[in-house]
Amino acid sequence: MFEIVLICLIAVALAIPLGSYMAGVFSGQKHITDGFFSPIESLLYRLMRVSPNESMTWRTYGMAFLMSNLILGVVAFLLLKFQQVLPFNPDHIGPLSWDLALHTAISFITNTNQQHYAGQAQLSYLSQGFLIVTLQFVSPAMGLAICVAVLRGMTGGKNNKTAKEGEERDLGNYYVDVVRGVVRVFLPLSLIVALLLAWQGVPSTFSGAQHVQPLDTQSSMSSQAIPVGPVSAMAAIKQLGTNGGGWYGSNSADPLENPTPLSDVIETIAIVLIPIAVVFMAGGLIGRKKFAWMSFATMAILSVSFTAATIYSENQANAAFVGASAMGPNMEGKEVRFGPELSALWGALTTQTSNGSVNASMDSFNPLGGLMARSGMLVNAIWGGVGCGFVNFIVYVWLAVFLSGLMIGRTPEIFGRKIETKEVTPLSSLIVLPALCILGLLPLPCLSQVLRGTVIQDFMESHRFFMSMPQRLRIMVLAWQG
Amino acid sequence: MKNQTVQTMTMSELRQASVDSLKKLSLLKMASSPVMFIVWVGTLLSAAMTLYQAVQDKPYAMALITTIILFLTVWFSNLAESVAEAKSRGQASSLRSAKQSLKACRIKGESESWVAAADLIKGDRVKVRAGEYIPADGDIIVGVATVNESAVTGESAAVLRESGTDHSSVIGGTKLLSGEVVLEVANDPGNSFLDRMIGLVEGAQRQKTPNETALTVLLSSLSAVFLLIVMTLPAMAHFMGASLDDTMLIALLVCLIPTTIGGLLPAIGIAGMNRALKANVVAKSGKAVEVAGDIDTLLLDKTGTITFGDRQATEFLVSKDADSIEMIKAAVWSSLDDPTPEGKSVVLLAENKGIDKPEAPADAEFIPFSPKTRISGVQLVDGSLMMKGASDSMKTWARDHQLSWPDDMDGLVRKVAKQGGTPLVVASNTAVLGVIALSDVVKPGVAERFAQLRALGVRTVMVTGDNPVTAGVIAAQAGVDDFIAEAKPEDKLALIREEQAKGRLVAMVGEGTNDAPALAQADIGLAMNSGTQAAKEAGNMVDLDSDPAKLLSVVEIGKQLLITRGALTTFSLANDVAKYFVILPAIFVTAIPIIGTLNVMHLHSPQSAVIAALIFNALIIPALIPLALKGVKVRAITAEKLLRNNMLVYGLGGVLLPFISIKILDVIISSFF
Repeated sequence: MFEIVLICLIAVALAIPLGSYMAGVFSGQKHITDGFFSPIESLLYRLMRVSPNESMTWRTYGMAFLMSNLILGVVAFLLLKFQQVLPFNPDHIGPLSWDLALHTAISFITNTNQQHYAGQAQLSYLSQGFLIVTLQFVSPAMGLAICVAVLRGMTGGKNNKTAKEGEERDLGNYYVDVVRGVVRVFLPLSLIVALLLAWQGVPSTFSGAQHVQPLDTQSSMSSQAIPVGPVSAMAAIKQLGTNGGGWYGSNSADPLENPTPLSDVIETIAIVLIPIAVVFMAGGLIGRKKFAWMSFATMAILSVSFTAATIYSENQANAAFVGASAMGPNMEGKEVRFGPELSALWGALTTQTSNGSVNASMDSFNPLGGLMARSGMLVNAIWGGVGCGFVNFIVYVWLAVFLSGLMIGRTPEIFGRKIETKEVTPLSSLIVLPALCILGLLPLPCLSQVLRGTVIQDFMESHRFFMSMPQRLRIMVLAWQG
Repeated sequence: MKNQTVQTMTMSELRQASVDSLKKLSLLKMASSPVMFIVWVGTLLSAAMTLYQAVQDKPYAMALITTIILFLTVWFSNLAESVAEAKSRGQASSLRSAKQSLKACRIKGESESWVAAADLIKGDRVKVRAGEYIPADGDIIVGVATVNESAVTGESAAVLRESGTDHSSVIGGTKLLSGEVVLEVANDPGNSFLDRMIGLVEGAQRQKTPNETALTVLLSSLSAVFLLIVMTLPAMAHFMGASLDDTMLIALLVCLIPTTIGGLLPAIGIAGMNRALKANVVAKSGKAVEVAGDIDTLLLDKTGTITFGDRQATEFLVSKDADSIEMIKAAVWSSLDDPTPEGKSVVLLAENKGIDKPEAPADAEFIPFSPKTRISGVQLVDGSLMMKGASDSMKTWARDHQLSWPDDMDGLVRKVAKQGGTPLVVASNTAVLGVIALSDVVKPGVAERFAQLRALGVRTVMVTGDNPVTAGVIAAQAGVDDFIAEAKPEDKLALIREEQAKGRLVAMVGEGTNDAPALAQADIGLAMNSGTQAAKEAGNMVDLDSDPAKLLSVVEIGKQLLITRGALTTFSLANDVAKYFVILPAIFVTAIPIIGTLNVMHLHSPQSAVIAALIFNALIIPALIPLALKGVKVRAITAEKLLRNNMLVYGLGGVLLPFISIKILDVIISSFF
């Protein structure tokens, strides 16, 4: 219990100064690190042929966001489809099928990081270490840029003081925001975390899989291939950028991706560090410290309750085996090294921040733990994904202000701006849209045996299958390599 | 109208409202309220299912009961709107009685002809004589008259209307008591003040206000989410190997969507307009009433709003060289022929001091006040003079009459000015005697009212033509937040623009034609009924009582409208918590027995639970109609406290009440099983 409190306190203590640093980064304040970062950024601007002083309206900003995603998506798809002919493929891994390549490209440009592949077995070093990692850097930076632009827009744009009524507001420059986010926030932090993880024993190499003699001399295998690579670098940004897609199929449950208790602590803190910092960054950017603390307190109360419920849940016996011989805690699908509490903590935080990395099998959580994980993902505003989590939070704040504003007898108003039909309509659609996507698609697998691939009686069978996914994957990999 | 306000509904009105509410059941009319539209479609579906089950010889009791309760839910909601409209109509009917078939004497060039009032168009000139009804709204261009406006305002006291002044406008349907005037018709037929008022009150021109539209959008989107949930539940239940009863699904949907606020929303809006009208304020749109709640800054004329308007003599300050009786007598003599309230108050104050009003000799020569000399007084036959006037004018006068200026005079003058009063120096032909202090008297209760407004976050700014010292004293007495002294009419407009540029909403009162631009610029321009037609056209509200202090009530009415809407929305959404615990276990308990643990209220059976929830859902609407019509009480406390109180009562109360009510209903219902 003590280590859980400690982890949370360290995360908050680090996030507060990081938040004010980030506020400086995005408001373009002078900083002692300018001498180091500015040349890198200028070089990137020149390469991308963008002029950093150009200001953008919400239209051009949004268009730049969409276009950059489209270009990255196409590049990602092509790289994955043709990785077998591209360099950095010492293990001679073949191409992904077109559907898997498309799924993976979309999954990573959207910061979703859902993986239908086992990275160590199906992706080359170029695909993992360059493509996936690049997207893991860029996609959270894009989320952060959108958040910064929303905050600027909410307070009337950068030209608020000079703009006339109805004049287009300056939301800053999209490319500058993304580049500064990558160069000044994600890269330095990832470097630190990657080094710490490498120190703890996470592989960091470009050599191919290691072939070793199995300990069990009686086994049929004469040699075992252990895939390695630049794992620590990827693990760092996977955690920091609310990405979640790991090097190994079993993610941070794998002893190579998360070898020690200390590495588990570092990776857990890295999950929530930037999402918490964004709250304080927002306070600094719009110059409202009180708003930042209000947001922090709201999120913290929810986060602590969700996490506490998850920890409680995983300390109970496995619900599926109640009445059999189950005794608490629920160790099904958990690494013995981490136990129920560190697994529950990770599971709660990773879903709240829409990170998705795991150090245990989420599918084996008890019902309450599973409910908390699902709720965290659905809300996506208790810290939430980098940038987009806070934008979601703002949506809830606006709606809450709309109702509470009425109750004090005024047309609701936030930051000096009235909330009327023009504002309520998009806010409402943001409430309906997720429901429409999730609930609209849900009946398809529920009703179609083809899509589901099971009949009802098979449900428990498939449940068991997914529960033991990490182990099975490893067996499959070994079989494939053997 | 004040006395004719419909407080309670008669049986016939209730019957009329019931019939009206049934007429509102057409799908087209229901579509304007998406929440109730869903309930109505659910009712029809449920009715179809009942029929189908009956035809198939299956048990249909549950479906029938559900259909009936759902129908009642829709009907109650329509009833709320009809009752609100009926109340308004009661008020409108008294207005309508004033609008009789009037005749008008139209002047065209030299000729006069009698035409029907309904044929008058804007710009026509008509002659009205004593005893006749004024045929149309208009401005008096020739003549003076007294008018009885009781048909519109409910006040029977006659009012003076005169051409070329700020009180030149008259309202059609009112009666000319004396005088003969020519007036210019201000509106085309069907567009008169009374017409618009009746239209507004009857709801014929009712449009959704901006905030109401925004709330409808939010409620619709919440309903859409619940609709999606309920539509996808069968698929999920199928996956879990359960089958759901369709009637139960409709019941679930109706319980989850915000029917309480959805059903009461139109009634709340109409009731808001109604409350304004009850205060004898005619808003030109529902939007104006809503905006009134948002006002940040009130621009108040000092005279008439904060003070009684006329300066009154409050003190006689005698120079040390003079005798006090002599001074007061001189003051009274100089005011004998002064018809102004100031002059009268001097005589009154003297009487209070035991000096009776003398009879003015017929041969006395009165010197009237003129803006040029700024002094007035009397000259008696014996040549003695008694004068009073502004101190600098009197100084010149004294010098002209070789009178010495006592050395304590300047001190007395300054003393009066410092206290916010107007000093009038009194002198006779032999000596300068002393100073009359005229002061503004702040209306009682004004300071408390401003303190309340401040608590609600409204800033008050006093506007006056007085000098800064006088203005400051009155401002301090009245407790306004700010004041503008020596203000010209155009200063008001500038101030409004300045405040609006800071993102504030400004309200003001005006009556004169020179107020019109500012009235139009202000977010709330409350025109006085006694004011000019131009002012009334420019403002977005008209106060029939012509009481400038009414602005404060208008702000409260606006706030009350929004608070009522917010409180009932919160209540409605909070209700859902209990309903989850009722309906979810009821629906799923056969398929997933463990969900029975959610049945924390230990309700008798799934059927009784659903019926209890539906009955609660239906009954809460009529139960809240009185609150919707009367409005949530606005208390002058800070926004934080107001929010906390309302969250406690309507939020927490909204969570708890259904738990208790549904349990009680369930106990009653289960006795029938």
